[in-house]
Amino acid sequence: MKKKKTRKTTSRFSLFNRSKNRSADFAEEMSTQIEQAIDSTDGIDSRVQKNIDRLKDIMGNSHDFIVREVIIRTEPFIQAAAMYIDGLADHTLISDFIIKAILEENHPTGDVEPAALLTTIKKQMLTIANVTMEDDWKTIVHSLLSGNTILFVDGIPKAFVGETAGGEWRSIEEPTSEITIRGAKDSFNESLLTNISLIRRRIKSPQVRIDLFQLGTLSRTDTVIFYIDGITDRRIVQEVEQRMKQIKADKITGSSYVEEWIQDQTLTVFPTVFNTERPDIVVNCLMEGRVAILVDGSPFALIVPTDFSQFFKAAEDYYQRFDLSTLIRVLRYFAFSVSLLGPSIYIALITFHQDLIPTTLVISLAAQREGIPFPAFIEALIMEVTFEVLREAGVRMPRAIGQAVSIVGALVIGQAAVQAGIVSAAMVIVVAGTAIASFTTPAYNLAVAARILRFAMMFLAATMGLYGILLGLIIMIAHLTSLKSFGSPYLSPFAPFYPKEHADGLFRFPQWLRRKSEGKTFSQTERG
Amino acid sequence: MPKQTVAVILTAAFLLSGCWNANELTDVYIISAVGIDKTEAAQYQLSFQIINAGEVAVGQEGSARNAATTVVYTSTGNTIFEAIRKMAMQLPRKIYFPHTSLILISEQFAKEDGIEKAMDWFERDAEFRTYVQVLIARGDTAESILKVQSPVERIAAKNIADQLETTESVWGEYHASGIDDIIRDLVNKGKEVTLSGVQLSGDQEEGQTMENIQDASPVARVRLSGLAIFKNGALARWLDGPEARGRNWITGDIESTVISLPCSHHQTEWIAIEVIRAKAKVQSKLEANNPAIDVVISLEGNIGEVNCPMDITISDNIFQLEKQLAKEIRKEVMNAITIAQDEKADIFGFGNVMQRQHPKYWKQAEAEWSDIFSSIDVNVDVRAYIRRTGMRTNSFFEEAKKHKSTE
Repeated sequence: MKKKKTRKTTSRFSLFNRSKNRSADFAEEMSTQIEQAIDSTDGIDSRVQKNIDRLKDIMGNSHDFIVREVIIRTEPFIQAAAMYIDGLADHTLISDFIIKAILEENHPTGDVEPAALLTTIKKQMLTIANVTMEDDWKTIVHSLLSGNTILFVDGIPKAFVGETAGGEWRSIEEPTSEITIRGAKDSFNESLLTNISLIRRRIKSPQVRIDLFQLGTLSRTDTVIFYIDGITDRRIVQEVEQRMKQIKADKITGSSYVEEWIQDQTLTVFPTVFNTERPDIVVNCLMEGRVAILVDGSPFALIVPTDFSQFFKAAEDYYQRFDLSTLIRVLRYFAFSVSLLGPSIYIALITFHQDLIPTTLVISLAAQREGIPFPAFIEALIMEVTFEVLREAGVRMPRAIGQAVSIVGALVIGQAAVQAGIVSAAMVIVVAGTAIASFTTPAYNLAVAARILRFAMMFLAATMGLYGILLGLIIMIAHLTSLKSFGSPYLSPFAPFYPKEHADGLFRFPQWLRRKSEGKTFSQTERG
Repeated sequence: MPKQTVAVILTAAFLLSGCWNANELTDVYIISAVGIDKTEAAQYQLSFQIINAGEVAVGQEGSARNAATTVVYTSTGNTIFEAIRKMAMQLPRKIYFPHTSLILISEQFAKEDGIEKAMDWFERDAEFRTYVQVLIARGDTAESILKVQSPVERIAAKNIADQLETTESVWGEYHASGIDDIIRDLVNKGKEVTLSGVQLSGDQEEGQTMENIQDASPVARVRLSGLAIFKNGALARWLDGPEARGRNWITGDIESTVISLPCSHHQTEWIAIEVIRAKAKVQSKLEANNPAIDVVISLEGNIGEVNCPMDITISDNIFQLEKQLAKEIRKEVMNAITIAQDEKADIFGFGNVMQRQHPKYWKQAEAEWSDIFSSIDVNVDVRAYIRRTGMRTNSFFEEAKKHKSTE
């Protein structure tokens, strides 16, 4: 049963990726050529100069590739060379613990066997924390590009690799997109090691598992998957691993690249992978039996499997009282419906179901619309598109001229438009209310889904009224129930109904009432 | 079934269902009231009170009224539907009915043609709500009453409909009847229709102009007046004041009312009792094929006003008041019954009670029920209770009297 399921997922997966593969083919070919070039050179030579030349050749004489040659002793003459990439490696580490060590430490005297020399250098001279011996060019190049320092010594046909990775990173700052009042104030940055440490610090358990993948045939981006052994369903981990292995990209420059490769379904407006920039949220998710994926260079961790309700959980929910959190969550669901249906319900009521509006209100609306040249649908469309343009302008514009947009924007979709008789005041209220409601969804990618569907709903409302809205909702919910995220039904814990998970679904129960982490399970049932 | 077939059926079901059209608000005139009169050529004359939305809504320009808030158009036809469609010749937009709050039928029409002839379209039409109130224009045409501008409430029809609802809840002489109520009563042999009337007072010509809403005291007013008794759908006579209330005590249409009782021995001094709860129980009896009706009305009231030096802290005085109250109400009820029996119109629904409780008898009596009703024995028992005396016990009259006597 399990095997069958895996196979099926794989086949669907490869079907979706067929076109993606083509784009990756070229890059793959290129990198294979380079690898072959590296391979074709023989093993490591015992002469330092020859190794330096070879590495320079591979690196294409890059100007940030630094070679520091030192002489260990003159009689007999032994030369050494340390190589690193400027900016990736930590200068202090190199000068204090490699160069200084070699030049000052107690040198072996007399004739020494290469093997003895190797041991001496490694065990008595190099004071850097982590040193490994490598004799494979491919590994050496990768280490070099990861910020490590390569040390060649005359007479030794091997390379010392000292761990000197460093360089400048953005410091740990406050989260920008998931703000809390009482929660932790740290967020991920672009350094994978820092991000891993932020999570590790919060779960001091040896059950935490971290598996490394190197993704991108050119970029060689370090990507790790995080899970907790004993909580996370093995099948989910296997599924994640399998999908990660199938990524055939030449570059991975952010976690969104990984998301697009591994998500269950591309043709949906609903996100099936959750992302967060908060380590505390990642920890919570790991405890729930989910898998976190961290990509080097991206301050956003991916969480799989996810479900619809997770996009309504803000970090703040866990830091405030449970009653408030629950009420706010209900409010968010309401606001999401408003942001999805606001304009369409207004259009439906005003063009089809005027009888459902209270008499006083309908008279007021009729009076407002008396001079409006467009039907309600066109009016709503004008306003919504104007708002979308304003929003995009606000996001893309340099901060220095941001003021201008807000001033002009307030005029365009506000008083002026009404006074000019282009739109009715009620429509401005509806569009503004919808916009505000859409900002309450904690997850930006779900708010976007409502934003896209809003237009479809408006069209349905304009052609078929409330009946059309109902049809749209039925189709939307049918689609939602068909979605899965890494084997877990998207609408769980609502459909299918998982009573235990309701402790943190629509409601948030007090912590003591919530049972021990149960863990997401990989659903066996497959559609078809 | 193959998937394609399912898809085709579902798509068809989605796209073929639904039966209405889109109406922009700027393409319709909202009708607030419909009036039904009779022309000399015995045709229907329909009057439509159209809401002038721009004048009714309070906009940015403030709430100054420059033009009439409601405009009346009339149209004639051999049927109501014909007259409605012929409105298009006078109006640029379609007329839109779901917000109609009132149907006004002229007394003449109700007397000569009967209200049955005015009901079918309203019930049959999909847009029309059947809970819309129906009233009789007493002594005037429906058109002339609809034309009167109302001062504070901007929509004239709403003015009348709200008058009726407020009166129903605080005074009890009138009751609102919707189209559905009327049709139910018309179909049942055991109850006759009663409808509240409205009357125009003052200068009708003035009432149509803006002056009517500018004056501190409007020259023309529309007031509720009387309860029309129908017999077989035709208006038979009017019940006024306490007579109308007498009918409503039995049917349970009274939510609250005020009854003034004379103080004992002082016919010029009065005490007001506020009735806060009234319930009527109607039972039918059948002894040797002789039908009789028992009515028990139980009500609770508070003392609302005392204008005479009566000590209401003494329970005997309260009991006395209760007796007086019961007597007064019984008088109102008996009066109404006598009038109804004279008219042979069972406006109380005694027939319905008979049908429920003695269905076998009802089958043979149904045809001649109005005759039986006119001579039926009705025993009315009123049980009145006074519960509270308002925010104080004795009136200050008592204290004033005490001071005076000590001086």
